[in-house]
Amino acid sequence: MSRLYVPPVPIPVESPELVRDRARRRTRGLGALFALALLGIGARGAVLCLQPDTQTIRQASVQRWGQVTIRERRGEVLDRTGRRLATSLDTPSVAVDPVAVRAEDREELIADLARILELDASDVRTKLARETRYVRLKTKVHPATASAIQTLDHPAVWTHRDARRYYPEAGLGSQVLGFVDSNGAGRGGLEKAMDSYLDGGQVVMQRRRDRRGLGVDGDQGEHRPDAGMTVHTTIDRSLQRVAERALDGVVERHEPKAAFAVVIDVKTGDILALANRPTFNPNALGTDPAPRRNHLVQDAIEPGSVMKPFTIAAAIEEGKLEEFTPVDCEGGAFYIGRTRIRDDHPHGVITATEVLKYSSNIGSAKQALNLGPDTFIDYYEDFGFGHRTGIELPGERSGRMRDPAKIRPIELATTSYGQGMTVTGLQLAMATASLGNDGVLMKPRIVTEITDADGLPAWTMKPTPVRQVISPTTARTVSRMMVSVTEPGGTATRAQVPGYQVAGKTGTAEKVENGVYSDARIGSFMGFLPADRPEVAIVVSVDEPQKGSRYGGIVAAPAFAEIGIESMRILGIEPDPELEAEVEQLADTKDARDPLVLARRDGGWELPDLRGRPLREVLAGLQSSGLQIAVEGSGHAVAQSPAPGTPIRDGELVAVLFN
Amino acid sequence: MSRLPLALAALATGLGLAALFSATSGTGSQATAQCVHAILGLLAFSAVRRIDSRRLPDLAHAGWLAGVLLLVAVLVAGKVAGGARSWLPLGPMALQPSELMKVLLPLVLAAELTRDALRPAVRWARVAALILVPVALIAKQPDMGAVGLLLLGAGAIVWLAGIPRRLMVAIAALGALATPIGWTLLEPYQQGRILTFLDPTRDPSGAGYQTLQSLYTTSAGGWTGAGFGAGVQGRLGFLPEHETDFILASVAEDAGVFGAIAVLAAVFALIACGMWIAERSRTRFEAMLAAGLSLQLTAQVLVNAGGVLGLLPLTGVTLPFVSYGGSSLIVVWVTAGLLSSVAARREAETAEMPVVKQPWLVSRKARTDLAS
Repeated sequence: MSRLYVPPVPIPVESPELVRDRARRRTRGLGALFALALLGIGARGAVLCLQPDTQTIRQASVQRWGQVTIRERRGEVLDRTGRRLATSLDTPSVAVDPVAVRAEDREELIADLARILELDASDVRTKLARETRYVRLKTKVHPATASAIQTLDHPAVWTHRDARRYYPEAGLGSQVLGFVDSNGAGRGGLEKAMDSYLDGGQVVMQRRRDRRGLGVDGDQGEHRPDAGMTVHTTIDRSLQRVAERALDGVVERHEPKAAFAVVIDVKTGDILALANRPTFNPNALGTDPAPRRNHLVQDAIEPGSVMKPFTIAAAIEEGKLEEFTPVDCEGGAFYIGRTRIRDDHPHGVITATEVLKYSSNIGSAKQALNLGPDTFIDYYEDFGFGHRTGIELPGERSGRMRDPAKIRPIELATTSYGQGMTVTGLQLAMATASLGNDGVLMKPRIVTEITDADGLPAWTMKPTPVRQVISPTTARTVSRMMVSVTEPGGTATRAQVPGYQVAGKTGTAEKVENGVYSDARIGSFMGFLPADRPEVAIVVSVDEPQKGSRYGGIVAAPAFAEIGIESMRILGIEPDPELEAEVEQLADTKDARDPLVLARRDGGWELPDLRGRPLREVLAGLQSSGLQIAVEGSGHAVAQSPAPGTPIRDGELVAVLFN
Repeated sequence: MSRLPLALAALATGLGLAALFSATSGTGSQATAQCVHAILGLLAFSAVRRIDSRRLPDLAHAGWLAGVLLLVAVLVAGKVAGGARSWLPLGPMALQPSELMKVLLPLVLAAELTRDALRPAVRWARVAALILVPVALIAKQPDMGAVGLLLLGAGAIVWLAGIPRRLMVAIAALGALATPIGWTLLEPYQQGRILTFLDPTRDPSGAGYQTLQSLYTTSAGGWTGAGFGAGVQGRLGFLPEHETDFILASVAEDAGVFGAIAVLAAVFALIACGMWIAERSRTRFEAMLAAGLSLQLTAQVLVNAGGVLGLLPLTGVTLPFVSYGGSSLIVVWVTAGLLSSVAARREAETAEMPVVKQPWLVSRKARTDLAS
C-alpha cells in the first residue's frame, strides 16, 4: 500500500505487518526444520548408545582384543645324571616406538639407549629415524639391562620377553642335541627327533591392544608354562666333554675334514658320549650346515679293516677257525681270479690272532671265502650292518651291503676287510659293543625316559637286546684276539690305556670318490675295555686327516686311549690288579694328598686351599656345600677366588681357574 | 536477562571441560590448554558485551573486511594441519580465521539486511557478495565443513530476513544443478568422505574408518557410560580426533546418554536464550543478529553431531563449547557476548522508555512510519 503513496522513494518498503508475519512464519518453519533434524540426531544417538547393533559391538571388540599365540616353554634335555644340556630361558628384548619420541628429548634418549644397550649411538639414531611405530633395538638382552631400560620409564621404549633356547654346555654334543629354529621348531638331533614331546604346544590368549596392535595390559587366558616334556638322555656330560676334547686334539694334530667319537655302554647299548667335528655352538647359530651333521648316524662310510674282527668272529662261530689256527697269508699277495689282493706288511703263515694283530687282508679274505657268501653276509647283517639301528636321531643311514646272491668272490674278499660296503659309525660302535657284551647286539639308546611336568614318564625305553649274534665263548675269544692289536707289535699300541686291557681294531679305509678309490683315507679305531670285563665300547673315526699320518692306529688310537682313560675314571671302574702298577705310576701325586674338606666357620664355610687339586676333586669337595662354583679350564687348580682361609657363606661364588 | 548468556556459556564450557578432561585423561594436556582458552573466551565475552549494540551495524562491515583479510592472509601464510591451510600462527597459539567468520558473517548479514533504501536486486547482490567472498576463500583452504556451516547459517538468516521464496527456490535449483560440477572440483578424499557417508563399511580401514570408529565409540556408552576417563576408544588410539571433532562420541562412551544430553542441553539452552533475545529485541538489526547467531550455532551442533553419528558426511566441524580448540571456544564466547550485548541494550531501553509492545522484526523506517 505504502509504495503507492511514496513515489519519490523508489525503494519498496514492505509493511511492518507483512515483514513481521513473514519473519514469524519463517522462524517457526526453520525452527521446526532444525528441531526435526535435532530430533533425528537425538534418536540416532539414543539408538546407538542404548540399542547398539551386535555387529557394531562385535567389530569394536574384535579390533580392541587381539589374540596372541604363545608358544609354551619347551622342555629340557638332561644328561644321564639330570644335568641340563638344553633348556629354555625367557630373555627380554628392547623395542622403541620412534613416533612417540619427542624431538626435545631425542638426543638424550639416544645417548641413554646407546649406553645401556652398548650400541652405537649412530645406529640407535638411524633406528629412531624410521617411519614406523615399532623397532626392535636389541634382542636377547640381559635381565639387568632390561630393568635398566625399564627405569628409564620412557613412554616410547619398552621391553618384552621372548622364550629362547639355551644350551648351558654350549657346544657339548651339539649334533646330538640339535637346535631350535626361529619358529621354535626343533631342527636336527634330539630337538627334532623328540620335538613332539619337547614342544610345549601353543596357547591362544586374549590381549587388549591399542591401534598400533600393542598390548595394553596383561594377557588373559590360561597357559601352562611347563607343558614341554623333559627328555632324559643317556649322554654323560663329563664323558661327552672328554670326547669333545679328544676330538679337539685330533683336529689340532691332523686337521681332518671331519671326525667323530662315540662311547657306548656295552651292557645297555646306551650312548654315553657322541661327538663330531666340525661342530657348532647352538647358542650362536651360524648358517653353515656342515658342522650340524652328525657323521656318526648320517654318514655311511667304507669302514676298512675295522670289519676284520667280525669276519673272524663269524669264522670262529661257524667252527672254521680257532684263536691260534695257522692262516697262510701268502707272503703279502693273493690272487682271486685275476685280481690280486695284498697286505701292506707281508706275512707268511701266522695265527688267526695275528691276522687281527697285523691286520692281514689276505688272512681275513680267506675266512670269508671259506664261509661262503650266504653265511658270511648273514653274520654281517646279524651284527647290524646294512640295517638302521632305529636310534632316536634324525637322518640315520642304513649303509650298503652286497647281495650274497650276486656277490663275486673278489667282492666277498674285499667285504671281509670292509671295502665295497658302507656302514655308519653307530652300526660299527654297536657291533663292537656286542663283541664286548657276550655276543649280544643291543639297540642303541639315547633317550631313557621322557617325563611330563609332574615328573611322570610319558615314554620310556629299556635297554633292548636285538639278537645273540655269536656265542659268549666266541665273543670272549675274539676279545682276547683283539687285545693283541694294542699289545707291542700290534697296529695300535697307541690305543693302550694304563691299567686296563684294551680290545680293539684299527682301520684305514680308502675313500671312494666319484666311483674310484682315491688317495683320501678314513682312519678309525674301534674297541672296548676292560677287555676281560667290558664296560664301554669306543669308536673314533677321522675323515681325511691332512697332517701327520693317515693310519687309524696313529690318528684315531690316541684319541681312543684318551677317552678310554677318562671313561674308566668317570665310570669308576677299577683297574686290573696286575696292571695296577701302571696306574700308580701315572696317577698324579697331588691326588694323593689330604682329602678336600670344607670346615664350618661362623655359620658359613672356611674356604680351603684348592690349588693343585684336580677339577673333579674340587667339584666333588664343594658340591656338598651350598656354594656356587665357577670353573674355568680343566686339569688342576692354579688360582682361586676368594683366597684360601676366607670365610664364605652359602650361595656365594667361588671362582677357580684350572690349567 | 543480559547475564543469562554468560551463565549458560559458562555452564556449557564447564561441562565441555569436564568432557575433555575425561576424554583426554592420561593421554594429553589438551584439557589444561582448553582452560586457558576458556579464560581468553571469558575476556573476549566481557569486551564484546560492553559494545553498544547500536554501534554494531557500523562495525559489521569493517569486521567482515578484517575477517576476509585474515582469510587471505591464511591462504598466503597459513599453517597446514589435517590437509587444510586453516591456521594462522600467532605466537604460541594459532588463529583459525574461518572460525571468526562464524560470528562476523551473521553480524554483517544482519547489518546489511536491515539497511533500508536499497533496490532488491542491489541488496541481494550485495548479500551474495558478502556471503560468497569469505566462503570461496574458505573453500580454497579447503575447509568444507566451515563452508557448509556458513552457507547453512547465512541461508537461515536471509530466509528470516525475507528473501523472496522464488529467489530462494532459484538458488536451491542452481545449487542442485551445480552439484555435478562441484563434485568434480572436490579433492578425492572429500569425495571419499561423501561416498563413505553413504556407506561407511565401503572402506572400513580407510575413508570409512573414522565414521565406523565413531559409531563403535558411541555404541559403548549405554545410559551412564564407562565412567570418567574410562573410555578406551580414544585412549587406545582407535578414534582419531577424539578430543575435537569426535568429542561427542567420547562423551557418549565415558558418560553415556545422560552425559551427552547434559552437554547438548547446555548448548541448546544458550541457543534458546539467543532466540528468546531475538524475539524481544528492540530493533530489526538486533533481532536479526541474535537470531542469526543462534541459528549459526544450531547449524554447527547439527553438522557436528550428524557427522559423529553417521548421519552427515564428516567435515571436521567442532562441537561448540565442548571440542578442544582455542579459536572455536573463543568465537562461541564472542557469540555469547554479542547476545548479551543485545539483551543489555533492551534492558537499558526498557528502563528509560515506557514499556511498549514492540513489533517484531520491523525496519527502522517502518517503525518511524508506524509511530507517525
